[in-house]
Amino acid sequence: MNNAQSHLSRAEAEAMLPDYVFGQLTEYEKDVFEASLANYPDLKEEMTDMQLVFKNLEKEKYKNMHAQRTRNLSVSVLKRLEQKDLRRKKIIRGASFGIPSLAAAAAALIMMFPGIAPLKVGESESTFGMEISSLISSSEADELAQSLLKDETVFASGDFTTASLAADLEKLPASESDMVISELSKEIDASFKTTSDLEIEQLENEIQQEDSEIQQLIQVI
Amino acid sequence: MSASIITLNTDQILIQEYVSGDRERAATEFVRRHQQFVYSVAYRYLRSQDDADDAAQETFIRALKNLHKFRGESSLNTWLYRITMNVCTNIQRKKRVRDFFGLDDVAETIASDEATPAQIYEDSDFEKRFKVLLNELPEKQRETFALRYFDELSYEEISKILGTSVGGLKANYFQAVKKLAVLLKNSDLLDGADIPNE
Repeated sequence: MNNAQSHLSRAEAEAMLPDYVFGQLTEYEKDVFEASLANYPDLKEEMTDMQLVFKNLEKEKYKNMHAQRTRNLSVSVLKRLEQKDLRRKKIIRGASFGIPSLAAAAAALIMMFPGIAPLKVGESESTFGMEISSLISSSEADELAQSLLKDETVFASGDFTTASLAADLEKLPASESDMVISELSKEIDASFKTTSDLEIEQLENEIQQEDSEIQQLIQVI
Repeated sequence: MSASIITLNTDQILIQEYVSGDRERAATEFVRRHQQFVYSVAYRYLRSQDDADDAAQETFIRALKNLHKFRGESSLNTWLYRITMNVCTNIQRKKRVRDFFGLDDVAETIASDEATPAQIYEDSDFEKRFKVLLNELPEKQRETFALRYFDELSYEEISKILGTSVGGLKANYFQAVKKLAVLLKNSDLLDGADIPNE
């Protein structure tokens, strides 16, 4: 330790004083401080006061009070962590089951009831139907949705709207209008029939034809 | 300084164990090791035992949740101090909102520079009087004193926490100790001690 190092400025000595009082200086720092203290008698007096006061202040007493209050902290923290983990697991489990189920339910609802989706302003029912049909994939539910869409397309085609039909019928005599109505009814019925219905009807006709041919053969025999 | 390096090393082992070993044992040890520091910081800020307890729990939950991200670039005390202060600020903000809308049946007092009679009543005799004396110090001096004297942090750690130079901190610490010595000498806190009054 040389003289230059041993002589602390007033500010340096002040900065070291609390650590000296509380015994937090290294042996070397302690020596430097004590050597410099002779230059600042007022500081030495302050130091003596501090030593006396803080000697009687039971630092451990203050720290022990905190120790008592925190003695169960680790238990509380672990319990809360456990609860948070459980909650997170529940959410993950719920999400992994719930989201796909909800998505499937929503998709099924849209396919079964395409009308539940809102129409845009200026959008016709037929174009809406086309949009829906483009969303439908090839599954059993698709067939149901497709048949519903066909019905919608027929209604929206405009070939026989109620207004134009009523106007045309008014111009005809009663007997002719009845005939037209009957023909139109047949057309409407035919329009409502799905492909499968028509196929069944065709098969039924074929069966009936075969039946009548068999009957004719029996008579010949 | 060497003591803080040893602590950091053992803390790093503890972190390793928490991340890839016995989580419960590591968490318990981690909390036990730092509980007094976190609690005392929260208590100084919130000035209520219940709030400090809540804040300490929340601080450890957040710290444990993010422990794998701790790289040891700053000291664990600095890291914990920041989390504690964030948690305390949130608690205080919530209390302000609750108080503003009258959501609490009994309005709890937000931390102020003065300890309330209720708070004084719940504290021990020694603590309440010492707390009153501590509150006489300017905030920065009080925090510097507490972090150095009670929590025994290094100046480097306190410097990072409070954003003050080490030189400035030492000056603050000296002023805090000097004022506190005068206040203690003039108080009846150290009754029975052989101290001449001014």
